[in-house]
Amino acid sequence: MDTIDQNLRAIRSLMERSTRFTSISGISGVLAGAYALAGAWAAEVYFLPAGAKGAMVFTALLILSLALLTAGLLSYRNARRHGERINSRPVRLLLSSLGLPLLAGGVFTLLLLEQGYLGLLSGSMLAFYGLALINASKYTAAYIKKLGVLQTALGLMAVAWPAHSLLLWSLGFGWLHIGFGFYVHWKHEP
Amino acid sequence: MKSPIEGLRKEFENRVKLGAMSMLAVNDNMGFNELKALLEVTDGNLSSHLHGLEKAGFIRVSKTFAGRKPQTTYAMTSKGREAFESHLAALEALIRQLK
Repeated sequence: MDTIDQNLRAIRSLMERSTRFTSISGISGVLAGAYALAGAWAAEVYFLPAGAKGAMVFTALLILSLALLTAGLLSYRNARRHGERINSRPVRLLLSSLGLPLLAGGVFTLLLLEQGYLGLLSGSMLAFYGLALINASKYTAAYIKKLGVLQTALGLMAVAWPAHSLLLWSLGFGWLHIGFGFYVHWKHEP
Repeated sequence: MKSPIEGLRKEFENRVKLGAMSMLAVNDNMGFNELKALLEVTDGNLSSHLHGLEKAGFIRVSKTFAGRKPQTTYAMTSKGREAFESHLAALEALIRQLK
């Protein structure tokens, strides 16, 4: 009885560990949310009134880099602690399944900006990010899919109501990240 | 009634063989080092078990080059999938019977 149980448990664990990287960090989500809120505040108070497009793009890229760096470093630390490998097939698949849609979304958003569709920027960022998460959720913790669905829905709403797009952007990149980050931290990081 | 024990495959009694089959069941193909790292076994041990699975017709071995480095990858055959699934079904049936 015990050995059958052990067998089944070993099978499940190997299936899981060979297809998913699960040491993602909740705290990095909270921090990414905080960076995003700071950026949205700066946009609202300084860049938008001044019409400073260049400064806004620069800040957006800075926030994105900071968020990715934080997520990478903290997840790396988590993985070390759990003994999960970094140079593994699931990590490579996770990065490419997240990276490709994000890259396409980044270029798409910049093209919108260049052609003057300012009201669509928030929605396009949220929707591409959400779809990237849904795509990547096959290779990481399954709850990432829920975050992706919510971000995508906010993206569609931001396109439908461009007047509220900055608010919806803050909700998605800011508050949702903070909420999800705490949820992951309390629930999945003992 | 047929006893579920008949579905058990003796090829999968070994932990390394069972582990390798579990991973190949959910990945299209995997390299030798990837399997080794997750199973935590030595090169010699893993390669002899993989050889056994290959001889039974449960896995397919292909040698490719990643740049200049030779790389061996393993994939499950349909015969291997059938055997693995019947083994799993037998394990589950045993569990249900004992509970």
